Amino acid sequence: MSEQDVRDGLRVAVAAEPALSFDPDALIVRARKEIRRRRALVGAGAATVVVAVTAVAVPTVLGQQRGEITSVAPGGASSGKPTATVTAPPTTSASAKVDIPWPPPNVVAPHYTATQLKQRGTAMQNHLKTQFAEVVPNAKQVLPKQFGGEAEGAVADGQAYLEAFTSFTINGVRTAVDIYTSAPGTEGPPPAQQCTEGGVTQCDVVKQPDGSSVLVTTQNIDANLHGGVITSVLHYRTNGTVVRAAGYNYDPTGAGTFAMQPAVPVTVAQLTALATDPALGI
Amino acid sequence: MRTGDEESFRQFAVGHAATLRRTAFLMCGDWHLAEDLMQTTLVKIYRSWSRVQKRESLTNYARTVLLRTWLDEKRRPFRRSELPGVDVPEVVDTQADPAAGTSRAWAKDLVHRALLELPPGQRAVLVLRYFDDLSVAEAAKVMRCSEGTVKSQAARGLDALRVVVARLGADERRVAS
Repeated sequence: MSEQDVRDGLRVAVAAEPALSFDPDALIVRARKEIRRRRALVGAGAATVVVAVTAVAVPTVLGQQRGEITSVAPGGASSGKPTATVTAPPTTSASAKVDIPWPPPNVVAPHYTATQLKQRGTAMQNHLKTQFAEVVPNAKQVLPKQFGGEAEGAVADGQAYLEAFTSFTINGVRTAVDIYTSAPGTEGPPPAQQCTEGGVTQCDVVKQPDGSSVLVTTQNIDANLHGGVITSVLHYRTNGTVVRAAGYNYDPTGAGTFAMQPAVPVTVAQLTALATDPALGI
Repeated sequence: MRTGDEESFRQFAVGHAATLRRTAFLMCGDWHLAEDLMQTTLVKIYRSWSRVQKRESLTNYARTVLLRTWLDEKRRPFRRSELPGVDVPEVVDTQADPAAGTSRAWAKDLVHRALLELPPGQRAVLVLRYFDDLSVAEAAKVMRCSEGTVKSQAARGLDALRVVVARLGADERRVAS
């Protein structure tokens, strides 16, 4: 098969495209709405945020400073258990808080080989086999899956992220938490974009004492899955790594019988404990 | 946005919507998702129009935004779980010439189906190089990687495509016989 065959094949593949009913005015209306929504987020000040905090090994000064939560920083012991819930005072607005310059300057992106990524993935998978039940004690039949990229266990030389689901049963229903980590010096999930995604109803940043940031979002994904909700906690670390732990009110792995739960069955505190766990990350 | 800017954006959007949707379709294999990706891409461009409209190659900038939008979608776990190994929808081709049916079906079914089995990077580079007809340098700019990476991805992608096409072709011949 020649390069010309590929060109011809691709041309033919789009030859029977459905008619395009593109309305630029409707698109502009949608774009304006999104811009207004972003500005509204910037202006939405006085929301009271209940921030559940994981007290790690060093139960430091919880809530001593307005809007700043401590004790979830990386570098703490990896046996974080959700032990405290703190009601933070009214915080500043969501988007105003998403002031996380990313990626941090002067961080050189490493080049990981497939072998290195496999080893790191296996280490994280083994860690989750014991740690996940510590963080989410009511989870049963915990099954951390193999870390990979586009598919479970699939990694390639130069890949700058790893991702895997940990499946478990909670309240009698099967679901999973997704753990994603990007390499230092790579863009990772852009902080500001997390708050402007369609359906995001909550977006809060909690600055950490070590200079890192925890970003908490709740996203309604009705457009893709009726009634679907994803709660994500992203830890933007000072070394340039991002670790995201995401919980769902359904089973995102698509295994077994589909059941939509009324709420995401893992708490922000539990997701925070996972995202800030120093044993997770590349 | 000023009226003049809005008008220039409108012209840009109308002029590029179909092309972007085709490129998106080749990458994702689903016309509905391709339309979503095209719309999201244009909304993102609208948001930064005053800043980007003077760019030398706005079309390639749009391709970059489209590519990143698609990759973002792929990385979303709910997308990953909802569309594992999604089949290419069958579309009735009323224009097809029965005499040319064999070769047309071969190209349509196999090349695109094979493309959808490749990793995203290889898929993107093949679409940019062989559908959008970008040079190696242009593709590197769109993908924000080195020209060497584009060359190696394209070479690996072509090799992989040939293997998958051969496998799919053999499967079809086996079913037919």
